[in-house]
Amino acid sequence: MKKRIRLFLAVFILAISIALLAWGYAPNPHETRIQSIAPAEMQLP
Amino acid sequence: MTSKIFYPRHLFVIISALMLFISAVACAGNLSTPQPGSAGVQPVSTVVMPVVESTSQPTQIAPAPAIPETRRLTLEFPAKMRAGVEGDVVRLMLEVDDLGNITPTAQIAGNVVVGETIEIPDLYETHNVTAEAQLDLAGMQVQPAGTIYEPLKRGQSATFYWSIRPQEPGTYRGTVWLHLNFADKSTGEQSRIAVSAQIVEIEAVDFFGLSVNVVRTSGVIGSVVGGVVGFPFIEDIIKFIFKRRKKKT
Repeated sequence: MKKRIRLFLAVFILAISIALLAWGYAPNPHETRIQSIAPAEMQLP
Repeated sequence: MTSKIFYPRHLFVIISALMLFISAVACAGNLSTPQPGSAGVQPVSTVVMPVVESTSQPTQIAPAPAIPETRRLTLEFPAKMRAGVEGDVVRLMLEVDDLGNITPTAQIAGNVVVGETIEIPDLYETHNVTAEAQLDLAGMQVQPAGTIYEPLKRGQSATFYWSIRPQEPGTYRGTVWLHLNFADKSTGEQSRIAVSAQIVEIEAVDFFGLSVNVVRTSGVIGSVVGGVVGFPFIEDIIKFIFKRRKKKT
């Protein structure tokens, strides 16, 4: 019985720790915007 | 014998003729164009504008000098990031669009209409062009904080980087500005145009109130503790896995 509780505890702690590490080191989602600029928009004022 | 010249009938005719003459003169005076600067009654009626009929061809206005390249502006930023010690990068790139230099073509009901190519004077020949970028993001640490300048050459791209770091969780809004500065090579005259102003929104988050450092440290410690607690059962776990595999085969 004691063995089973210890096993459950170990799995529980590991699962939470891995979740924390994954959140802490996951790359940030980046947004990319692409805009075309015609020569007419780069004229002298 | 004295003759009577002014009979009442003659007098009436003379007065009538005189009044008619004065009326004619007065009407003629109203019809004549008033001299500029002369005092008098301003015409109330509609002013007849002179109609100029031009026989020459319509004048072509020379196009203003421009950069003879279609360019592509790419903005890359983290839409969501962790608040605290961690930073990220915002990148703005003004590169030459190779596919953009195409004569505009339209197709209407099977007929292809090709746009006319217009010769636009090359701005690189007459001016020094500098790209100027700035990131305004209130409440967030931005490095570099001010304006960044980069010379813009023909066929070359200009890239700007900012390092951003939100201290507190929340939503941060700001603007990425891109201007072009033109300096005349001969006169040194400066001019500036705004090319783009893009609004960015960055959300800084934390883990249920815990900062990134706390979360990472907890994750490492928890992994070690979990490994130590579960270590005596590694043999059992491996045996359990292998037994299941053998049963499947």
